[in-house]
Amino acid sequence: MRCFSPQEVEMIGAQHYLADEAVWQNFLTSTEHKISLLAFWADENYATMLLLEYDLYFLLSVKISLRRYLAPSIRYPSALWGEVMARDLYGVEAMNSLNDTLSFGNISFDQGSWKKIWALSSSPLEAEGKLLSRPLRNEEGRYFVPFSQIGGVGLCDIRAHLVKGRMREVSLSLSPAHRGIIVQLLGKTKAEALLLIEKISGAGFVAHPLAFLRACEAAEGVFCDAQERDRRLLFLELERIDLHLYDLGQMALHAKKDFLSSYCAFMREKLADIFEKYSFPRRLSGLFSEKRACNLEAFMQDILVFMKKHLPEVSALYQFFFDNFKGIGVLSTRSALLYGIGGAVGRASGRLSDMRKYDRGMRLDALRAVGEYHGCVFSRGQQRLAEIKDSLSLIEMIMAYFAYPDEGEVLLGQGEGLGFAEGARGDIWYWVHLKEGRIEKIFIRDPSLPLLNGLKEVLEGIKPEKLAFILSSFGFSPAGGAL
Amino acid sequence: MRGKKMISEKGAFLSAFFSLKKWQEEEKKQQQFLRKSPYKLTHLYIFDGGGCDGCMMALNTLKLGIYGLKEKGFHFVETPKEAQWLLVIGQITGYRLGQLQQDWEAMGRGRALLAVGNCAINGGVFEETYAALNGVEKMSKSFYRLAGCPPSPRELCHGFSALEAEISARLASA
Repeated sequence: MRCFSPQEVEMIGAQHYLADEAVWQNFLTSTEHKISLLAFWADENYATMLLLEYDLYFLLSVKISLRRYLAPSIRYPSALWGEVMARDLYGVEAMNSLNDTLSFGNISFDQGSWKKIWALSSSPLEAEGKLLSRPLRNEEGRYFVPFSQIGGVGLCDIRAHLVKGRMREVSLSLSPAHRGIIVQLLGKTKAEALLLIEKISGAGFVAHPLAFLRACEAAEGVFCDAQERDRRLLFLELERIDLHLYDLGQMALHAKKDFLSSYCAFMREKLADIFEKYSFPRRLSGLFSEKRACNLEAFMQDILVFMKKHLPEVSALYQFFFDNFKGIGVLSTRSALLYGIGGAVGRASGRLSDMRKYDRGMRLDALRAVGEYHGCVFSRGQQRLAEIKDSLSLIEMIMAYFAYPDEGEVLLGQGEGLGFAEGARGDIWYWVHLKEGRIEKIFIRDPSLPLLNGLKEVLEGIKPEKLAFILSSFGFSPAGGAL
Repeated sequence: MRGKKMISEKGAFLSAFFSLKKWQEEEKKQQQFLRKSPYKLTHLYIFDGGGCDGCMMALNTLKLGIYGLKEKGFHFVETPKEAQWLLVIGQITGYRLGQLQQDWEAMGRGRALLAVGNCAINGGVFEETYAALNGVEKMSKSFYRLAGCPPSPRELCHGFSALEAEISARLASA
């Protein structure tokens, strides 16, 4: 790495470095590197950044002193959410943080609704837990967008000033969706935690537990056999196909293209029927905690036959109905790169990052999706269709040579592990610290987190009536981010 | 070339139309529901209490015309004042609890509370925390349940129709 020399940091885990405050500050203020931030989190003891330098990802931590640390948001605006969470869950302050008054409000994340203050710290305080109501406008005159108008994406607090019928100074917050998942995972074994992680997000019933399992395996220094490896890759692709169809259907619904939205729903339900026929859950939830035997070859064959018949139809419908939506809701390449936005959304904006390239056993020839990188609504749908096609190629390649042996690197388990999975909506990362087989620390990075900052820019200046449509094109789901 | 493209587009449209039609007929045969008066719609309001979004995705799919929910006598509305049934999804976060009470009080007479999905009923696999309850069971004894994790659109259709008879009978006897 060019950002610091090995002498300046201490290696505390595989790809995990501990810096002192001077090195941390130097890293954040240096102009000599172009390392991007994937995620940031902090607890009472350490502040940690997950960074990506070209193809190399690593963790950089600094010890927290007197409940304070230098805010990464001075360089990386996307770190702001992590700073807010750390402040309210652990009571640690980020110094010189970006002004978060407009983004998340200058009051706490929960606005007094939680029953504990600093809930995850070593000394949480009991609180009453206020009942909140949501007026149409707050004291500053900022308009709260009713949840019914955000197109059923989930719970996301969107506020803006309405100036001449357009939204200005838009802010987004995942506060309403926070459920306290992390506190439920701490102290659990891998098997116990898996039961919860499999249900964390409807946009990642496969991707979330897969990233978690990979992190645990890295922590334990084990990895799965080739059969299990390929089985996981197959189900990840099935989930990708399912979610892309759902997102296309929602885009069509909000654009009032009912034929296309109904067709996408029909395809999803037919896929779910095929999953059920082979004794899998309709939405592939609970896949890893319960082992199921099935005729994998026949299963994949049914999927391929069905999708190859109907995919050209949905593509034709999409081209016909969405041709007029070019240039709308543009997420610029600059924003996608700056905030580390991944998935089909990031790739449609020109950030060509696909973490599947690093998966063991990945058949790289299948990953060819080349769309238009304009970053608009049309491009995002186009990218999803191209990726569905890629997923089918990948399934064919995997089944052609199922469970081929690979020579993966055997790592010594150090009790700490980083795992990722390229979900349909972007890369999901898990960092776990195990102690005697139980989770001592855990962090989850969902693709909805980096999208928060990108969405602020995209929604600036739009009319509220267009909000649901534009949000639906992003496949935004707060559940995974607001843990 | 342009002619060929038009023919192939038309072919795709026709094929898609017939696939959809066939599936709709199959769904109708699978779903047993009681015929309701077409002039009396039950208005449904979705309250998202904070969950994995799985139930929300199922309800979003149900909103599509393909399931013929209106023909079955149900209609989604945007405000609780217009609704007869309040569909709660998710665990119910502390942030949303006050709004849930407000929305319930805004509904008129003959209202019913439905917990859709396991999390809304009793938290599902999740526990109560500083930030979220364990579903509607924690705060009410009289509510209706539509279990599932998540329930499919088909199960929701079945469930609404089955509950409609039960709720109507209860209201008639009240």
